[in-house]
Amino acid sequence: MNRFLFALVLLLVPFTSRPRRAPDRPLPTLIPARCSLYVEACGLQERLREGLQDPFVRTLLDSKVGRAWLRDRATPPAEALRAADTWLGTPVLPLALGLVEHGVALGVDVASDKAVAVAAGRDEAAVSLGLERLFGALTRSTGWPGSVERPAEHWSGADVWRIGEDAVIARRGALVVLGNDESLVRETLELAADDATRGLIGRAQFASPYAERAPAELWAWLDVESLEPEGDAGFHELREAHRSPAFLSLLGPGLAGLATSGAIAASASLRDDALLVTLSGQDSASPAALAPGARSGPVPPELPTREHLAQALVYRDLAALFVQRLELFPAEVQPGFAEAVTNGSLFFAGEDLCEDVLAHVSPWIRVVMGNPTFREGAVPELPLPGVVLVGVLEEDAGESWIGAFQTLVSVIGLDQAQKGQKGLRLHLERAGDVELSLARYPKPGAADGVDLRYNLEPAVTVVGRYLVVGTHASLVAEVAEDLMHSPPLETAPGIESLTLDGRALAAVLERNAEALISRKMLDEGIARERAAKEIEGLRLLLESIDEARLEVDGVQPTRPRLELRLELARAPEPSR
Amino acid sequence: MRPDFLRPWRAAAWDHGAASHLLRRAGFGGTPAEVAEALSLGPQETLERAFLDRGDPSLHASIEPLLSAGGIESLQAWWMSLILESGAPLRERMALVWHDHFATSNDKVDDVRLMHRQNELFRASGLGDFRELLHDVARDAAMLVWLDGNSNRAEQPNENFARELLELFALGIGSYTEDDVREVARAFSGWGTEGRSSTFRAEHHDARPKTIFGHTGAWTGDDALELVLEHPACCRHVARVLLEAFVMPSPADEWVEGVAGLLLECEWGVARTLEVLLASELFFSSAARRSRIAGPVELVAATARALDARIAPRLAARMASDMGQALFRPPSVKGWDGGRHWIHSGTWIARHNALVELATAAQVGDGRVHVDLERSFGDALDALPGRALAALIPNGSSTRFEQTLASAARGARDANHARQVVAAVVLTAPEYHLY
Repeated sequence: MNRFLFALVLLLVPFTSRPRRAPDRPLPTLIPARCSLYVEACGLQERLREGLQDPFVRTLLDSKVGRAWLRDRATPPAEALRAADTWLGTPVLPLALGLVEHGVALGVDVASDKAVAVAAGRDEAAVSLGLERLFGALTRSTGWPGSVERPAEHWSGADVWRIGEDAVIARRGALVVLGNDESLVRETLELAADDATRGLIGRAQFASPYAERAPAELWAWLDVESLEPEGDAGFHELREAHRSPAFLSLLGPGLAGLATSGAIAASASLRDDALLVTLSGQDSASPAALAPGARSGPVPPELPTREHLAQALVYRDLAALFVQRLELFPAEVQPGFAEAVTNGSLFFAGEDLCEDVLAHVSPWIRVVMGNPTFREGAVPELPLPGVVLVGVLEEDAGESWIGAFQTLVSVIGLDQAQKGQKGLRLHLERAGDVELSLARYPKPGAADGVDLRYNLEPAVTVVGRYLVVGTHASLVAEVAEDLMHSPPLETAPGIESLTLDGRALAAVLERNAEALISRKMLDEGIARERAAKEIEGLRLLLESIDEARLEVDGVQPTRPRLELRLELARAPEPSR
Repeated sequence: MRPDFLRPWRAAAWDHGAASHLLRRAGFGGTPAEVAEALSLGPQETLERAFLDRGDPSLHASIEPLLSAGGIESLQAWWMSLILESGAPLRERMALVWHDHFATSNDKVDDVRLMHRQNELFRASGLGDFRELLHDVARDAAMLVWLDGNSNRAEQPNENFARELLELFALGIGSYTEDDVREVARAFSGWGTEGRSSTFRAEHHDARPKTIFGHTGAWTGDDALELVLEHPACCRHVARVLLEAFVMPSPADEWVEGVAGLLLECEWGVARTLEVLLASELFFSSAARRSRIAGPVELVAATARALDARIAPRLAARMASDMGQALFRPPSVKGWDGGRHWIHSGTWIARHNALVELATAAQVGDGRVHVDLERSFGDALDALPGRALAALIPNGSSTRFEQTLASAARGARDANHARQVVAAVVLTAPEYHLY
């Protein structure tokens, strides 16, 4: 071997020896414990390896909303990637993969609004090369502030660059740490130098959900309790959801549980064209007395699909809410309860609202949202969807509900008459086998326009043990007919659920697009073209969802869980 | 022969102050670029442009889909959007004047469609023949609801509309008797609404003879309006309205007489009258300039234009409401008291807060205000006080005020802060509120 060849071998030895790899340890061990928000991108490596051919990326780009997004882009993704390759002077995806191959995580200290990101690269050489290329390109193209040719400082065995006033980038072996706060970056580097299991993973409230996490593209954890000192009035109101009768009645105990959780773990993943998002609460304060299953009762069955926009099954034990109001709710809401009980007795012909009325209704209620059929000459200019509630009553309880409905409409009509307005008028009608009590406004004059209030044509009927009440008679009749030969289910599912038809909702939005565009123009002071584009974006987003299903599991009141599954609609292949 | 004060003003004195004055009175002020353009065009062409309608049709139509929802806030925001856009400055200005004059409030009418229809009437006919406008207003459904037309029946006349017609809309106190009010009310008996349309119910009309201003006949409502228009006090009353809105408060009787004569010469044409009035020596006189306290709507709109700012219309309407001028909700049939009544301890705080927010805001109301002070005032800090004063209080500030601004600018953290501080001090100075 001549001397030239020997020298060449010596030069190559360092590159063929085993590279220094990133530490094989969970990323939360590197994030300081004071961080109240943690986000880990778990599937990023796959995305970078496969690029635009990655199934996740392809699903998103092939969805309707993805196609629409692509239409608006001046540069197609493949071309943008090629431009990035040119800008960096090397293929961007392999370079990025080298920087993050063992994971990326972000920690945010919400109280101080400071953040630190950690990327565990393939090995020291890959990370060095990646940073070198990145710094070089940034310096060439943007005149990046501060010198990045060589590290400005060295901390805890790491090279440190300072960018601008706050940003700090550090590299320690195959680890890159980026932050907008020096102390957070220093803490992270100290954790990296220490083999002991510390950092965020040392917090039991974090460690437990982290250990239990299922595979997902994105996993996050938020220490909600720590946000309380910084939270605004709305945040504090949300944290008191378990003591709010309105919240519990409308949104239910499961969501109240999530709102009051001490911490929340979240994940997002893509499975078979469906986007799955889960939220799991810890140490929630939702009242056990109102949790699904606390009182048993028959369940209204799922209704056959008739182009319904949404269907939900909810658990609302209004009897328990009223009976236990003194234990569950603060003093300031008690007068409201007293008023409701008194008024309730008036409407229900002197019966006790709690004992004689609500206690005889199953806590499981089905909610259906659909498009009503409006009367000729009374089709609202802004036609809105209607809502129908289905409850299960004990035998013979139906009559008092119909009486209460009629009394309520009479009282409203009286109030409107006193104001000189044309009020709701009561009617009794038959639709097929269903007899309806309903109320409607008199038809407007031909030149008067049809106002929003014509969306309201409230109706009630009792079919067997079902009480069917809704905002529009046509919908109530339709649902009642569907229920006529379906007995209630005696076994409760234990979870609340909501199913939405994205395309049907998109159609509603399209019907009312002009009003939404106008409202946006006046609210935001933007031109019609921009407002129209934003509404169209929202419509496309809805249209790209075949079905959305939300499940809320509040059986264990201290550990509520929410799962959202979005079935993404594929865009039709472009015609050739 | 026209009086001297209505002679055309000498354009030789056409300067930044005069251009700003014309843009403010014949509209809602101008952006720095528009003031500069007016300077180069001269007063005649600037005034001609104020009469043009160059508005965005999509903005004008934007209220249509929202009317059925019935929220007055949307209607307020919509009108504010037309005022802010300034596509038809004089037309919108005149609509605001008539809204104050024929003050009708949704608080009683409680029908956004009717309020919108009345507003469109002021927009379409406000610069036309006052006689036609008066007839149309008397038939307007919002007015009929507002002043109880539906309960004006032969057997029990309701005098509300008749009284306001004589006292506020057409003649003024002292020009009629109580008997005239009663007789005019009888003439309008049977005028009411059916749904959202005006209607005449012959069975409720008192067809017997009436004596109005000494003239006896079986007068109808339209006849009564003609008698009112023939009354010599009517043209003086309208002339006073135009002088107070466009020239100065409390105009001299001599000027009122002169403009009343002009109005008759122009066959009650409001636009034709304004063409002469807004080009006159009286209009450009030093007594007329900055003689009015800006009303909230014009203050918000003119500030936005002077700063070349973008304000979301709904937020702008809310700001004006907080300052005491909620569009479509005047406090009474007399409209807004205006003048010194615009400013009291409550409304001053609202004025102060809104203007400081505009001056300092990158973020107001969810970021729905965008102000670029560097573009408005330039980047040279030593010229900042002078440029801010020229833009905001043309010809109306003192050297001492400029020195105060320079001192405030020197104390600022940086250039942007200096611009914000200077803008805030100028906008909250008493001088700024004189238009």
